[in-house]
Amino acid sequence: MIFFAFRSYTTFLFLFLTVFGVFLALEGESMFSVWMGMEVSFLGVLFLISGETEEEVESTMKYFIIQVISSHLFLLSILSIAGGWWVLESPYFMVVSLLIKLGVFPFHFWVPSVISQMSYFSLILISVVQKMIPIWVFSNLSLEGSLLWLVEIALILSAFVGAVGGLGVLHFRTILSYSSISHTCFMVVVSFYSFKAFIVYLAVYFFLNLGLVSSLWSMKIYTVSDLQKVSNISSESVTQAISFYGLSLAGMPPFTGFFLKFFFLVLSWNEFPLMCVFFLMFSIISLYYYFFIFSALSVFSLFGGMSFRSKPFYWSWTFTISVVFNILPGFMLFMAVGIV
Amino acid sequence: MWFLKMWFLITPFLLLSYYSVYFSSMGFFWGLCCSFIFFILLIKSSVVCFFFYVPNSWVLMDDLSFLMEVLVFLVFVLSVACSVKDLSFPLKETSKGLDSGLAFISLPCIMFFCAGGWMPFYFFFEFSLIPTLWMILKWGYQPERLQAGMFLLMYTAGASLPLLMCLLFISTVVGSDSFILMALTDMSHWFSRWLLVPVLLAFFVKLPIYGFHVWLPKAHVEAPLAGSMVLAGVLLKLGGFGLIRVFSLFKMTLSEEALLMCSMIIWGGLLSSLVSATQHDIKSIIAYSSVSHMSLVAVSFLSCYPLTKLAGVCMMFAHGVCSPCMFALAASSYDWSQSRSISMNKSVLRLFPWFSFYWFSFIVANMSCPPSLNFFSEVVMFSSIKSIGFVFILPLGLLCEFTCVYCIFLYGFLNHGGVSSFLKSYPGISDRYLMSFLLSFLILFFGFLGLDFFLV
Repeated sequence: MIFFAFRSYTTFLFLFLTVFGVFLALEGESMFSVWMGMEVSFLGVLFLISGETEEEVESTMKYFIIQVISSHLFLLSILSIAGGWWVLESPYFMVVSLLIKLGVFPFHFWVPSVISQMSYFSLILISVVQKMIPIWVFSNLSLEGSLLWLVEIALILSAFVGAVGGLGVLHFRTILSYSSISHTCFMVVVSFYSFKAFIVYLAVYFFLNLGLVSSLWSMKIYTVSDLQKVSNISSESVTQAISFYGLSLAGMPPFTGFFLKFFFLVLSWNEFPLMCVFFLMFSIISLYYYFFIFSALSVFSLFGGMSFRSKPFYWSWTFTISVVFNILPGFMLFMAVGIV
Repeated sequence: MWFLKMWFLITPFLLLSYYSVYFSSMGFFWGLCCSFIFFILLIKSSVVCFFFYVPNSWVLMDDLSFLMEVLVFLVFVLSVACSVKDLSFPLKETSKGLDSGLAFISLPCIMFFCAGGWMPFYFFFEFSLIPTLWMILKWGYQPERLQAGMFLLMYTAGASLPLLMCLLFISTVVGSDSFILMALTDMSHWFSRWLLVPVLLAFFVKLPIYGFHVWLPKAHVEAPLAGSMVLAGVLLKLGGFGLIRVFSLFKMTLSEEALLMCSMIIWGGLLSSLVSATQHDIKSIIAYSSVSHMSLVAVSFLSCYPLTKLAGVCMMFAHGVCSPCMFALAASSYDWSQSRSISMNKSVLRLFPWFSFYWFSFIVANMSCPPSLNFFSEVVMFSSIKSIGFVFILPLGLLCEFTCVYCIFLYGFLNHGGVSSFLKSYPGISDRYLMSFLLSFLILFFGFLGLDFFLV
């Protein structure tokens, strides 16, 4: 817990608020409690992501505007569905507001510009914690007909954006934002099967993201030019261990991230075969920027000089966590899907 | 008559038992490897049996997997022995660990060949990619290895994700992914033939076949020696093994599609052998020759005749032994001239005559000269492929000829010719090369005595 520093005394308070908001939304009895939980959680996150620097405040502002608009649209849809005037477009309001909240095509434009300016801690909050409530609503909707068609097209196209947008990007947070867009699409489809499946997916994704983000944060790597700071003899092995996260998030066996792809495929192959095909094709494209993360951390940061003393292997918790999150569960999770 | 037959059986034992003593002086792994091979010959020759080991639903070992495991072991030992320069003189302290990198490549290959279901099959098929990528990026010599690693990853991983989809689809339809179940059911009418296309594509990219071969020359050239050896020796055979499994388990004999694919593959092999004759980089020549040999392997598996399968398996094994040794020879030239170019390494015959002998023997094996294993496999292959379509004789004959062209080109340019004034005889070349070459030479040139090992 040390790495996300106590920037103020109230960090824990607002974290609690965030989690409490999620709890409110998931366990509340009516749609209003869902909306209320959404707002409470959003409030907590808002305090947490507005950090000290100006860029963080700017991206907090952008995030605020987007989320408030979508929350209002969501509230309108609740009022329209639960009581009052039902119009033909009422379910569409709800779905569209959730798509805006999640950052799905065609409402994905805020995601890279917001996340690329935030600190790593806020990145985790936005790409993992804030997905829970909208996807909870998604998993409880019975999508059929043209509504399902809308969501499917939006997801396929946002998978395309997530795959293609990250190509040629040099800032790690921007790459992670595009990665979060494409993983969001996977998560939504998994949630159509059941909410529990989504929680499993989210848990593995959370741990992978957490490991990567905490490692990058502790080494203060924000862009490729920061890799010069870690190209010394003592951090070489650590940086090479961190590079596994890149391929793990891409979904390569034997890493843990392959479980994400495999789980998604096993669950949604029967109901959405065409989406599975498209998502896999696009994840081949996204493999390029995941390979960039991998090669940047393992090759670009190599120590180029001679080492005159034999340096013993430098253990650090970053290395241990990378191995424990990436390599250890890889095969076991894969077998677990096969058994269950 | 039985007296003569007995000598045919005993000669490999005698040779290997004599030479294994000689080899064990090179170290523990050598002795282990040779005794392993000796043991296998003993078992296979003494009893007319077929080997089939299925302990649970995740492991299946039959004759072919056994043969491939032998190949993996052999190539691993050869790679460790030949990469003396990288192991004893690492570039810096943190470049140690090439041997463990090699072990991490060989481990998923060993697991892959004894996989008993489609999911472990796929998992280890992909698993072998990551340590190879790691080895190329960490221990390769030139800065171009970054692009080479990217090509390797994108091509092979990109082609194998559709494979994953199709395997999952088949598993959900059949109900299970185990090979045993599929071997016992006749599934040829359950799926449309087009389902096989993404499956075959993954193996064609891995083999590789001419249209999808671009990653291979890059990866081979930029990999360190041990990586090149394991790539050429084992990792290409993952694709061939997959082809055999797919065709024997799905029991789909494609007729029209097979003809189309065969003609494109053979043409690709011909083109690749032509391209190989124009290269100036020794490793590149050997890499393109791998492409053309693997195209022959692919055609032989597509034809679905048992005799052609024998020829294909024999060619896989022979190529898996011959090609790593050619890479090791190229690396020996790189050791003393620091260049992979064919015009910079000349006159090996005058400076290193022993190496010249091995250049000759492996090049001659590569172009399928009797009595090497490649010769037997190629003869059987050609005579079986003409039964698919008589017109294939023409490109096959041309392929054979152009193989000879680049092989003799490689041998002549490297071994003969005058010594350039700035090249000298170099005392630092390891004689471990010679040991490993001797072992491979014996296997290649006396392997025809055990041709029934390849009848899988």
